Amino acid sequence: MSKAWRVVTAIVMIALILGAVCIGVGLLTGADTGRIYMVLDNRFDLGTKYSVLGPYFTDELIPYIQECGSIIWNGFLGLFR
Amino acid sequence: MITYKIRSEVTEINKQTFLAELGRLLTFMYEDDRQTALTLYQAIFDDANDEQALVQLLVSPTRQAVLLARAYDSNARKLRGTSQVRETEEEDYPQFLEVIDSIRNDALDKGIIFDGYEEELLPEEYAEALTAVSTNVVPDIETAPAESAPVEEHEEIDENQISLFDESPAEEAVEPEQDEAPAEEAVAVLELEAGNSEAEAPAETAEDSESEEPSEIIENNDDINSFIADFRREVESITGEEQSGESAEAAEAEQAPAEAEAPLAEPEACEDKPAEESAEAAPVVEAAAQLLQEPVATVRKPKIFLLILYIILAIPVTIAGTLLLLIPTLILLSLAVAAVCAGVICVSAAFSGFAVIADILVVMGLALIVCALALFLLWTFIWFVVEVLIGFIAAVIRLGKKWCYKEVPAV
Repeated sequence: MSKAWRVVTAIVMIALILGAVCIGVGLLTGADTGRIYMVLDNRFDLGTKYSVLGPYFTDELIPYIQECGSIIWNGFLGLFR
Repeated sequence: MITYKIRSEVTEINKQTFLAELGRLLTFMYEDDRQTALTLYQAIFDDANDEQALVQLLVSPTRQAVLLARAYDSNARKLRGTSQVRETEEEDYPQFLEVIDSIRNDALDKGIIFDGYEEELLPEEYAEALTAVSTNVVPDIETAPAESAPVEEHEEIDENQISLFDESPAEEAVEPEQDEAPAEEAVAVLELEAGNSEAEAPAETAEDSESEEPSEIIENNDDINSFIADFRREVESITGEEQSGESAEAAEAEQAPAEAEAPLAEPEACEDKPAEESAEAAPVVEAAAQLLQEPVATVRKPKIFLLILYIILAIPVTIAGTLLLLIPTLILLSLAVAAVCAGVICVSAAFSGFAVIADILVVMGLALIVCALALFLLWTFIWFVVEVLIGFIAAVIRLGKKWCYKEVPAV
């Protein structure tokens, strides 16, 4: 298992380094993040998805997780009272 | 010509046998000192006009080993090795080297070896000390400067040495004969050596009186002869008790690795009671072998009440724990799947919607990073399932076996 961990970590590190090099070279050779976002927005409709999922994350999911965490924490503290 | 060849081979074999046996007997010394002593004995043999005469002068490897053992101070050598004590230059020149020097001078006086002391064989520290004490101890040797004592030459000669630890070809040639020799032959050799020493004692005494050697050496020789005779009697008593050579060989075989693993053992113990150690080791080894050979048959019997109680408690605890552990497992799985999907989407988008190569490079870099994260999350999920989830259930079962079962000898 430890050998597998080493192999996976090596592959991940190599992929991360290659990705960083690709991004750096692309930005140095004239890439524009606004243009990339526009192309992806046209293709995948990112703005609409963000307008739907954004409020869900910020208004519903995150408060729900916080409420669950407080319930679990209060129950944990209640065991020692 | 053939006669010369045969004779040279015979003398060479005698020399090799002598050095191999001596190397085997000097295992009580520290390795550096042992190699130094063997190097000096090799040098004496190399300078010999007549090796047979030299062998007769040395009498036997056992005798030389006893001589060196009596002059060897293990505590001082240990302190020297750790560089804790360096009081005077004379104390740096070890006594066992003085013994070898005296043997060499004796051979020089009798014309058995050439005159030419190979000081470069000594380590540098010994050469310096030898320069300091040469007027008192070794008047015949040349006091060459210590700088002319390269360690490399010493090491080269060490590689040719015959030793149990070096595994040199000469040793390999000699070793099987030593291993196969039964205890009776060893006793016979000791008897022969004792006889030789006894026969040579008067001659040595006469020569000593002619060469005006001090009476201490004669007394020392008598002590050595008596020690070898005592050792022979102990070996005879051991072989008489065991009445077989095989058990003695087994004890030696068990004792030899122990000596090889612990070369720093106290030399006094090796010097005083070698036969007693082998006699003590033999029954211990036999008892250990019997214990290993006898399998103790046991049966696992459950403690019924404890087992039922444990099952009642363990099942809900295991289910609750597994459900709790499933939460992070599923979160990891969902994150991994999401990362894989994002990576695939990035790769497909890079080659379908962009016209500028720089933009493609940036999106490909993003895709690589997302895929790397996906791989990491996937592997973490697999590890979590295998090690944590299954490990938790296995630990509960193992604990139940440990608490609720007992080992009972089979009837």
